[in-house]
Amino acid sequence: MAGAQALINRHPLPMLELKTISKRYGDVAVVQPLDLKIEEGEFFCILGPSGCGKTTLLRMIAGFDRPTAGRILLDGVDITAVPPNRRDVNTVFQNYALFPHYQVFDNVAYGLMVRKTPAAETHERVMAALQLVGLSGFEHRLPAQLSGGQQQRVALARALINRPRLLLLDEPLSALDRKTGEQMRGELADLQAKSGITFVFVTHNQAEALSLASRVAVMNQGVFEQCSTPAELYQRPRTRFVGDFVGSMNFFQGVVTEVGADRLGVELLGQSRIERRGASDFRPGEPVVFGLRPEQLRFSLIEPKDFENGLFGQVERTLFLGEATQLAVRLSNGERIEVKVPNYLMLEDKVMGLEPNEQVWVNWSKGSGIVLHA
Amino acid sequence: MPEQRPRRRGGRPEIAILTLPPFIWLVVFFLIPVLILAAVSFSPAGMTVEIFRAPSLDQYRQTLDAFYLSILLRSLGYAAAATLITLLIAFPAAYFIASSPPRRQVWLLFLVFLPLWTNLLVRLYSFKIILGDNGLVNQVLEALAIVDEPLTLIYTPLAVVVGFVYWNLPYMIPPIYAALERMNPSLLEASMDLGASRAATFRYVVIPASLPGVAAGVILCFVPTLGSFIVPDILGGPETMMVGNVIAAQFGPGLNWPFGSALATLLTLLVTVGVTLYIRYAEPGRLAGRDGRG
Repeated sequence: MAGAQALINRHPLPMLELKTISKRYGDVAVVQPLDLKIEEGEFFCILGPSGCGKTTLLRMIAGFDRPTAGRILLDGVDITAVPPNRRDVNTVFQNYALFPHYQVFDNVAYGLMVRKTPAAETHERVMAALQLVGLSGFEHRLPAQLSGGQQQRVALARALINRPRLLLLDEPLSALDRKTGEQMRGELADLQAKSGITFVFVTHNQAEALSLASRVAVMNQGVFEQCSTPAELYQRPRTRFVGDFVGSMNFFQGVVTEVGADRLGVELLGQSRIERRGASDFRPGEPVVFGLRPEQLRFSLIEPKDFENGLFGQVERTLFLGEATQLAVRLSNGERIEVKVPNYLMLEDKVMGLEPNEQVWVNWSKGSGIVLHA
Repeated sequence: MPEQRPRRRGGRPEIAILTLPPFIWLVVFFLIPVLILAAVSFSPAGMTVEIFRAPSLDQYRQTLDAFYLSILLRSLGYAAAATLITLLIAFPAAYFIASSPPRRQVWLLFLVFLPLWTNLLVRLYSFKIILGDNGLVNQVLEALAIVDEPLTLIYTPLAVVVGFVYWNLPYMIPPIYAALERMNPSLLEASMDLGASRAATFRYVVIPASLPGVAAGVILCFVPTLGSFIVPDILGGPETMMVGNVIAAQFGPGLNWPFGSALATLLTLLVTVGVTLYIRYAEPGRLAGRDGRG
């Protein structure tokens, strides 16, 4: 720990810093003014739905788009006006953007070639880069002769060979089929660990973001909704959007009934008094949104005990997901709640022996669930 | 012949039937006339068509005469110069069109094709007005006091090449435009991202991407120019005579069909061999191979 502290002290500046950066196209604000600091060696992920501004943000870091306002600092140096070819930043494009008329070797060698690197060094580094991504022996293929996963690796090798300070990845796995994408996910993590290069990864896929990133910024309509570690993002979403976008969440309107030093009372659906542990900045009588993840819920045929809260309803439909089953339960007030039950609890094709239309209690521990300002 | 083939290829009779009309058309109106022409070229010396009595190479011997060889060389020179100049003008134009917004692209292409709506003859006569001693160019030059007396522009090699370039542009721009338009624009960003300047990006990404279009455009311009007779006929003088003019003269006023046929056959062979070699050499991917740069 002492060593890590010393390292931080030696580099007081964040590696990449965005200062109140924003981008508008005419009247449309694609990226609202936002700040961001990324430290050396991070695997940083920008997660958001399509059209949230995440790709524009990445393009501004790469230098393809000029911010409307704000500054970009790399190692403390203002690079806002520096063209992309003079930034120590490389990009892996969503469609890979491999040069179709060059063989794999020349694609990977491109950055060295334009910098007039000696032939012997180029050859050595290209071979090393291809080996790093597991494509040795493919150097004389044309991009069109490669599978999607292989093209992805060429794009990675082509960017990494330049040893950039920062590697930007724009939805690099979204064009791959699911199995290949998941495999590449693991390789990407290894590659980042091996190379030690700072990665900034843009995706709309929350599973990619949660599994790969050291920190995730969730972006929506041009602003960062939340920026934290994947675990915190999942367990303590700070906005309704984050709770819904990262994983899924049932939301209910409620009112704060009691605020104590270590407990919070919330009334919801006009029937139950729900209590939740932990201090907070809520005031009694304040309207709130209460969020529960489907996997935090359990079925029971009996009323909840004192350490649990529960809602009563009727099983409406079931979705078999493989590792789990998702059930929709219609509550007595008409609202619907999604419950996800691991399939190791299945009995003869039925979750806990539940029949359709059966009446059940949906219970959860008083500690789980999140309370957000409405 | 084509009716027997489909069976062996695994049977796609619909395709065979659909290709039949163009096939017959080409056989009747292209292949047979060319073969007749080739046959006529083997007539013995003289101006009569007598191939079957004594086939000979007399006509070809005559084509190797220094006079005709120089005309052939001149034709190649004009065609090469005109094609090169056309390419130099067409490339930036095509690049500009391909990088315009989609709606403007339609309009610009429309303008490129617009000259083809009028007869070439009419357009070439208009060049007489532009390039004549009292023409537009000379009037402007005199008005600006750049020259004292009119330059001789019309009926010169310059006029012929200018005419060819004008004629060729609508055939050179579209294929280059098509190749550039097909290029993935993120390739330019990828190149810049990897450290290439704009000039290097143009050289290593844009030019290789345009090559298929350039190759097509060069063929579309060079081949018709090489055999053209109408442009030198109208805009040129005696010293700009091209092989097309000689051939036309043999079939027209010269009334020497065997010699005209020999010249035409020779030209056809030259073009066929040349284009075949050219296509093989200019095959995309070969040109842009590893040795493109050290």
